Amino acid sequence: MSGNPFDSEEEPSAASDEILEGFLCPICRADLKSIDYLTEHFARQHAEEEDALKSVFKDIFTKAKKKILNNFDDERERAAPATGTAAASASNASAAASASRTSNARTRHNIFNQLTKQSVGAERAHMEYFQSVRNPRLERYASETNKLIIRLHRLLKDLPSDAVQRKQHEQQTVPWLDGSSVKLCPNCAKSFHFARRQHHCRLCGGIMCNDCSRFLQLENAMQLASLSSTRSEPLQQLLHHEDRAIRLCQHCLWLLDTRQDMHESRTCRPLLAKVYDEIRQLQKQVAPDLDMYVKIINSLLDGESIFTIADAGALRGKIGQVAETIDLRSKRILTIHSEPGSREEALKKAIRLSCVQVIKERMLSLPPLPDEALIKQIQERKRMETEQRILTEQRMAMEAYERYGAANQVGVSTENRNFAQGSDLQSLNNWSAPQASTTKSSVDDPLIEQINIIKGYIKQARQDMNFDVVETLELNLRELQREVYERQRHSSNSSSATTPQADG
Amino acid sequence: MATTPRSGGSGSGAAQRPNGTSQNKSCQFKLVLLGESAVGKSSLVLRFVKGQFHEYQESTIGAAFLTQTICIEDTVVKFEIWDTAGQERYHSLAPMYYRGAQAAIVVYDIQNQDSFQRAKSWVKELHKQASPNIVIALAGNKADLSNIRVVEFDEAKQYAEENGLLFMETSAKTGMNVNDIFLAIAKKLPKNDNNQGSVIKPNGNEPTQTTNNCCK
Repeated sequence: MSGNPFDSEEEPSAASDEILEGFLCPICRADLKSIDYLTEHFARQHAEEEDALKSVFKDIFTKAKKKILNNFDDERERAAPATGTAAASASNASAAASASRTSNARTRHNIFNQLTKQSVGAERAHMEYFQSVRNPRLERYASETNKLIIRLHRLLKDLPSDAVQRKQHEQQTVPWLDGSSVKLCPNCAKSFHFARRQHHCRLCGGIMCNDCSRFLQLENAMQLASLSSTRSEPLQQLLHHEDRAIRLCQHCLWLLDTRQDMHESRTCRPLLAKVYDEIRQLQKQVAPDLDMYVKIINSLLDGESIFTIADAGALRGKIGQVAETIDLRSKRILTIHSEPGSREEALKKAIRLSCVQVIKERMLSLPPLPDEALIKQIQERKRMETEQRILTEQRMAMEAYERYGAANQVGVSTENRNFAQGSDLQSLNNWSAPQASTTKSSVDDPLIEQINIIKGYIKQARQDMNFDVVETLELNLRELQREVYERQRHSSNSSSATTPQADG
Repeated sequence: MATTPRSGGSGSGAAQRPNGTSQNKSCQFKLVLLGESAVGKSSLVLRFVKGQFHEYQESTIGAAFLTQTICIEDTVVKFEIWDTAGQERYHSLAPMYYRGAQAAIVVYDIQNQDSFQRAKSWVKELHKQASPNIVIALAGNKADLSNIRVVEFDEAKQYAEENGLLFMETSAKTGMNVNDIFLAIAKKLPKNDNNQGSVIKPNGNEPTQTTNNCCK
């Protein structure tokens, strides 16, 4: 045994108990569930452990404890053959006894070791009981409130402005309690007399003194009864302040107030949420504009002529405005009052931060407006390239024609058409001049008319900054122009074809 | 049941029994593990106590308590091991656990320089706050990953020597040096115990002295 120290480790059952984990008290090993409880428990329960004076008596206590423990051990050994429960109760009893005799925690935790972990006992759901109590309660309040609202409605529906008539009307709607036997105010227990007169709640008919009366303004009452206040025109003439309110008891007013509060809390949204919604809306709206702007810039830099620099500038201005609005809104959110250090405060900061980030990342990072001269240059270069391409195409067509013509004289006419097609591209490029002339000459042509209409649309769309539409319209326009050109070419072709026939 | 007679009162059980010459000599020590989170404190203890290793050891909440008994020469040594949680938010609990502890293992991760620095500050704290006779061991854990180490063996060794700590590089995964470090602590501890003779706890030593001074 002495040779290998790990001999005993091979039998872990003897040494290692269950692994305890949690907020364990280092002295009594109880799991205290949280840091706070543990520190509090430790400071309170085991403070004496620290006490220097105690340690003087420790020896005495330990000796006494030893004896007691030995006795317990003997007892336990005797009890062991008996039933398990008996043994457990014996150890429980010994725990109580020893704890009372010595305050030393060491003893206690030894006994704690002996206690087996308790299993979860019987469980029982109390939800049903809770609901059976709560539902009738809610129902009672709801029905009571509804009753009051209905009475209020009837009371206000055609309230006479004359005081006597009004009193009659009120008493008709809600019967007043007979006050002859009521000597004291049920609310404040003060006696009624000449100076303190009885008053009645207009909704429940109950009796109270003037001090205990509450007043509901007619405007509010109208709102509660969901009557429009315009109908109460005659009531506006009531002069006295008290006449323009309904006398109520505390309970009825409380019920009505609760109802209104509930209603408001359900429908009203905090200012912060409203402003935040506005911000989200703006962000959503600006998203397609951002894409469009990038598209326009790219198209401009490619030398295409669908969009102009003015378009890009206008769109950029619009985006800038939106960014400014978002910035303003988020600043406004910051100014909304909230408790310092609260979660609302954190939320406000987070919103502001995200807004700033969105503006920075999505809006300020947009490419700048390209230089007009640069665009001109690019467009020029592109045109040159196209012309170059057309020229080479022409030349190739020419060569092919010659080669073909040398080999076979038959296909002249078709080759001729091929050649013509090559040249038509060139003329399409210099389209503007002939087109201008045709618009003047042939306004009756439906195609030309269509072109003009589309041009109008494009202008309008540009003004509205609806660049998606501009793009499609521009493309349509090009197709139309091409079609017109084709037709013109065709007609001139056919006319030139007919002339030789006429000659012949 | 089997543990009760031994755990009755640390060490003194041996002193009380007249026939406890060789086998019955027993003592009990409180040992605490400290160190940054995720350096392998719980894994070390689990390896020592149960011989197990979990690749995905859960993070300890609060503290864990385990016991293990080993035999050295003719003494039965029972370790009451307090495995503290390394996460920063549990830091305030640590003094509660290392107070009155006779031994401490400060663990760091050899792949993590920060954890070594943290270990140093734990040692400093123990020197300042814990009982003066405490036996401190420094364990550089995760030694199975020594090919990607950041903390050099010599550096740690030198630090341990300067501060009078036991030092070993351990691996809870392979079991390397795990038993050895506990054994080394156990060997260093009983000497204190023998010197005290009738005194029960090693740290029960100096309170008596202080009270002697003030009460007389």
